[in-house]
Amino acid sequence: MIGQIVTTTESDCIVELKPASNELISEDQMSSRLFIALGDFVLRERLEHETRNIRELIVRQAFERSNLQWPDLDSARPGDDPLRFGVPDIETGRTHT
Amino acid sequence: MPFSFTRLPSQPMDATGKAVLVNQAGEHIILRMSDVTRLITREAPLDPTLMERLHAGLFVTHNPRSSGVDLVAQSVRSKLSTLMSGTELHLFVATLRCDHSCPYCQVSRVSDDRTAYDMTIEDASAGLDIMFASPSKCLKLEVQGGEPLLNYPLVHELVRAARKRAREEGRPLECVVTTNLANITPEMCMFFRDHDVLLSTSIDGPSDLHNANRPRPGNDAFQRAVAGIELVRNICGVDSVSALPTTTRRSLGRVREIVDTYVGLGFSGVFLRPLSPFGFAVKTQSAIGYDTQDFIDHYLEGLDYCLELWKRGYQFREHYASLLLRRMLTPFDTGYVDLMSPAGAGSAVLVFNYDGDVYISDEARMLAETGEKLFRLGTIRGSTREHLLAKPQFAHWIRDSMNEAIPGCDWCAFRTWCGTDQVYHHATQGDIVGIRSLSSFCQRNMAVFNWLVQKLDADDDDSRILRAWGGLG
Repeated sequence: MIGQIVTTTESDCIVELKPASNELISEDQMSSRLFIALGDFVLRERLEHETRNIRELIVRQAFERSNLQWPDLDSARPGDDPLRFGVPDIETGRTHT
Repeated sequence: MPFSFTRLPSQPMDATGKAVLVNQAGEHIILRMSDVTRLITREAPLDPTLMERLHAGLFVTHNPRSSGVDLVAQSVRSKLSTLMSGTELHLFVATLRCDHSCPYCQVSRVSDDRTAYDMTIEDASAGLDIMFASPSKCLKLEVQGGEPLLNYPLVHELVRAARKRAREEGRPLECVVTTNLANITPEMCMFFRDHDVLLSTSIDGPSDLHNANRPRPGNDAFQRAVAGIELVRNICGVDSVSALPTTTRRSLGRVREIVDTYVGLGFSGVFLRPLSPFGFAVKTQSAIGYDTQDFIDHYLEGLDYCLELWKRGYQFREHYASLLLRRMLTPFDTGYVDLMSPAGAGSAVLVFNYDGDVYISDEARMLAETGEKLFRLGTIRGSTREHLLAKPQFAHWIRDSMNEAIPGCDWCAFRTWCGTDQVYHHATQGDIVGIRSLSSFCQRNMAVFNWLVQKLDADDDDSRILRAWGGLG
């Protein structure tokens, strides 16, 4: 369903709707779909409002944790193995105390 | 926890219908809309078993300081890792000359004796300077055309110089030459073998379809491509050549034959791609084009057939679906530049055209061949990487390609897995953001995501095969 706003006033918004494809659809079906879609957006608004703080926390946390000591390790890909964990100690000369 | 939801189109449009929920980590779950409403409004209790699944999938947490928030943050960071790594892919258009005259070719076709359309050694060298100035740990050099092997001396020098420089700087470098293979020789193959170059070619399907799509003198494009594949495999190794089909109107209804052709040639997969609405392809759209739904039907039939082959014991996959599944099922970024948010154009890829002009993507240079040079960053001559990327519009293109802020993407459940393409929407709608409900890019990806999530949810053979395509198992 494709909608286009025709006019808006302080209290009303007139929207012109047409089916997105060539399917045959009655006016009742179309208005029913519209109200369901609007109901879904009410839910999305509520979800967005209630999770805004945690969304910002996640993004902040995702980008604040840069590795100051070994910045190269931050850009390493999972297969890069920059610390050579996958290489036997006998080859790296690594010892354990 | 934050998430988005989208109703599955095959379901009733009421509370009994199902929706897919995707969170910022890319985890997904399919629920009845009645449960989605309960979860958000908390007007009625949720089943305890469902609550456990929601906790496990990081859709719900009791404590914002819990490790769940850390896990989601880590996932967001992994998925956006290419943002911080610098441009990896650099495309060099060695020449616009081509010996084929494909009606869907996105770039200008000129006869094969006009060297005015060749990249010069000096421009190629300047392009390498810009490429090696990229902070990316890994670099990828891709040579394109026209038909790049018609300017083989440049390809030879470009690859040789790039390999030497990568060795001196100790940087991993992948080299790819995209060619129709019609003019490849054993000497070229030996050079490619010695310099670790991969070849990428086109096979549109069986001989009659390929030759109809790709006219050339002698009408033998398919025979030459197949002979070229064999030559490359013999000299460079079996895995050193890959192929892609382009879907024209002639391809519709023949996807099984197309897949069978790939199987017959010994490939382990196929990348079913639509026509690009760029450059000269637009002019021939009415003759060879099709509706988006036609392509979706063709594509999904192809996916079903690939699954059928796998079940019969031939491990054959569709590569685009595999890319999407990797995004859906793992926290890793695929690095696929056509499906990034913010868009990969300019940040993950730069294109050096034959005439020295620099564009933010291959599609941008195709568009430029019809006169629309909006996405031109400048010229290779006398420019530095910093100078090119400092173009003020570039920052706007990046900002306007973040799907979290694009109307129609902002609420879509598939946003975390999807990407944006400013060049595509500028070419098709005259606006880099575009209207999603009118976008073929959106319509295609929505259809494929919907198909994949429902298959994954079925917990049957198809689901297990698709998990293997995505890198799990």
